[in-house]
Parts: sequence; C-alpha cells; structure tokens
Amino acid sequence: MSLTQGILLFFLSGLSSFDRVAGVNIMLSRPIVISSIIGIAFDQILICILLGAIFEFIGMLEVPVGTVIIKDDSFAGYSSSVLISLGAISHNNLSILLAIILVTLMIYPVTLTDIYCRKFNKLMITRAFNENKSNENSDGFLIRIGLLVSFVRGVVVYNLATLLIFLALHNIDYFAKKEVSPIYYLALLFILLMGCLFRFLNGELFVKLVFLVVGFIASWVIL
Amino acid sequence: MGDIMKLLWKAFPTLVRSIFYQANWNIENMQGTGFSWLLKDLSKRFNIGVGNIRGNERADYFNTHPYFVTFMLGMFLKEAESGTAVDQYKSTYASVFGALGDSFFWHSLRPLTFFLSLFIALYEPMFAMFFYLIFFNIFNIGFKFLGFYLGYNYGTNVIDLFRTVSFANWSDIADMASIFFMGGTLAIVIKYISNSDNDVINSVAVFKTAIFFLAGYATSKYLSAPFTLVVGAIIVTIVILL
Repeated sequence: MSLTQGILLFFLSGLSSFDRVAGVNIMLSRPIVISSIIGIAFDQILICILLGAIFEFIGMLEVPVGTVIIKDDSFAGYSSSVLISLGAISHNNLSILLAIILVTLMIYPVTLTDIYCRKFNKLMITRAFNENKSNENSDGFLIRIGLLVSFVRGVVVYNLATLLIFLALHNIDYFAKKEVSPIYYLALLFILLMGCLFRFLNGELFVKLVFLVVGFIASWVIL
Repeated sequence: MGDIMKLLWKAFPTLVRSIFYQANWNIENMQGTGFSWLLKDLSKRFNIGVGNIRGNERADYFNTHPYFVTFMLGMFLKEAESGTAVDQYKSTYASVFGALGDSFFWHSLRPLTFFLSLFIALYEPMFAMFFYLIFFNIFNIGFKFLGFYLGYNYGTNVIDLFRTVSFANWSDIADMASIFFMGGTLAIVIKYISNSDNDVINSVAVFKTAIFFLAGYATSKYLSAPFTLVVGAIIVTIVILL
C-alpha cells in the first residue's frame, strides 16, 4: 500500500462515517460507492463493486425511521474492499466467504459505536442545556463536535475493526478444499439477498412478480 | 425566476449549512440542535427575529428527513414574516416530511439507484459510482434548494403540493422500477453462472437461482439482513465443500 492509498483510506473511512452519521448525506457512505472508490484506487474494481453490492443490501433492507439506528453497512463495504485490496482475502478459495461472515458479524460492534456517538451528542446537549448556553455559538460548537466525533469514529473504528478481521483471517485455517471462482458464490449470495429485497419493496405480490418477470425477459433478450 | 434566485441566493449560506443539521443527532431532542442552529442563521439573514418564532430553542424536539428540512425552513420564514404562530404545526409537518422522505429516499430511491448503477457497472464499472452519486444527489440537492423556495412560496399549504404531484406514489413507482431491474439482474446472473467454469448447465443455474431467491424471500420474514447474509454465506460454503 502506497502513502497516497493510505491517505485515501484515512479520509475515506472518516468521510464515510461523517456522511452517514453527521451530515452532507451525499451517499458517499453507501457500500457500493465506497467499494468502487477503493476498487479504483487499488485496481480491484470488479470484485470490490461486487462486495459493495452484497453489503448494499443490508442498508437497503433497513430504513432509518425516527430513532432507529440501522446497521453500519458503510463499514462493511469499506472493510471488505480494503481486505481484498490488501490481499488479506484470496480470490481463489473460500476465504472470501469467511471474510464476509467476519465483516458481517463485525457490523454489530461497529454499529454500537454509532449508538455511543448519539449518546455522546445527548451528553453534550444536556450539559449545554444545564449550563444554560443558548447562544448560536454554542449551537455551532455542538454541531462541529458532532461532525468531528463522527469523522474520528470512522477513522478509528472502521480501521481498527478491519485490522481485527485482517488478523483473524491470518490466524484461522481457512484453506478451502475446492477451487471455485469467488464471483460464483458471491452471485448466489446476491440472489439470496435479492429475494429479501423483493419482499421488502412495496406492491402487490402478483404485480411485483409481473414486473420481475418482464424485467427478466427484457434483460435476457436485450443483453 | 429572478425572485426565486434572489431568495435562494439570500438563503444560500443557510441552505449549505443545512447539510450538517444532523450533526448533533441524539435520542434526547433528535435534530433539535441542528434545526435551532439553522433557524437562528435564517432569522439573522432575513431579519425576522428569532423571537417571532417559537420552537427555536435547542432543547426542543425536532425530527424530520434531512432532505426535507429546507421545506420547513422556507415554511417557517413565510409564516414568521406574516406573523403566524407556526410552532403549533412544527411537529406535524416535521413528522409528515420525515415519513415522506424516509419512504421515498431511504426505502425506494436507494434500491432504484443501486440497480441502475449495477447495470452501468456491467458496461463500465468506474461510471457506476459516479452515476450513483449524481443520480441520487439530483434528488437530494433538488429537494434542498427547491424545497426552500416551495416551503416559502406555499407556506403551510406546501403539503397540498405533495398531494397534487402524488408524491406518496413516487415510492411505489420507484419500487416497481427496482423490481423490473432486479429481474434484469437475475437474468444476467443466470447467464453468468451458466457460462462460468463450474460445469453448470442452464437449467441447473435457473434452479439454483430460484432456490436462493425463494430462500431469501422466505428468510427475510424471520431474520435480519446481516444474519441472513451470515447464514447464507455458511450455507454456500457447505454447498461448495460438499
């Protein structure tokens, strides 16, 4: 990994957390976007996009309504792409599946840190309220603190969790018995998650089926 | 047109600030701090006086969709200028905009953008990311800037505008489009599996696809998405090893 790539990962981890937690919301934090950026930087775009697409489903299947804090799919896209780009996941054996399992499980503790960020914000607002700081500077300070905390969270938590998975992959005997293209089983997982999304999307089952079949036929014929 | 530009130009710094309004998101007052911060800024720029608007205190609960907050700001400005006590509508409008935004942006536009990007990735992977960002943010930025103007122009009647354009149905239309592209993606995946080096004939590929798709459909009722993915990865591992 070159210095430029390291700097990119530093900012990308921070900005993706920033984008999903605190502000901007330009969708830089979507797994497919993060993975594509990492894929371009490390010249691994196809496999990174596929991994990003897999984890994209986690975010699409949850809607952040009200106080609901959804699972941190941004971390999953970031971590899996970094791991494959740095060679921690082999392209030719089952290690990619093990990595997917580890990254998915790691989403839970990473999401916890998101919850702690919100609690920290609550602590700050409660403290400011108790001290009766009601001027605009104080509001601006709280906003800036929120932005900073979310950025630091991304840099520290995303990279630390990725490092833990990296070490785990190196210490587990994950050698596969069969040589199968990773894209093959990624495609199977992809279909499984599409089934989940199909139920999640609005509409009558019959109408959805019609659209699915028409889309299928159109794509089959045209492509 | 000139009036729109003048209004947007005057409010431009506040609208740019609005992208950070979630920064103090917490379970106590949700985005109350951010909204208070924006309101004070807007108040200063339009000389409406914070005192004219109740509900600008940071401790107040406020929660709406981040792309719809500018509708609220425009509405507040309009009502504050005409001296109406807008605070009684605050929670109602915030909730309505929150629901509309969650339903359209988070529930429906993300899957649609994702599938469209996926199709672009088939031809040029690098463009997929740019397409995702551009396509989604056309709606994001459009709603932010136009939203302020519409909020200001229509005031508390802005909800009627959403009814006029049948905004509640946009989500359903986007979902149907997503499903259409999902079908297309399935076809591509089957073609890929059939042509790969796994000694799989077409009918087997179709059968496997159907099994996995139905399994995903069935399990999503009982399992969360990450857990489905973990279980799925384990099952695929076993299938490959057998």
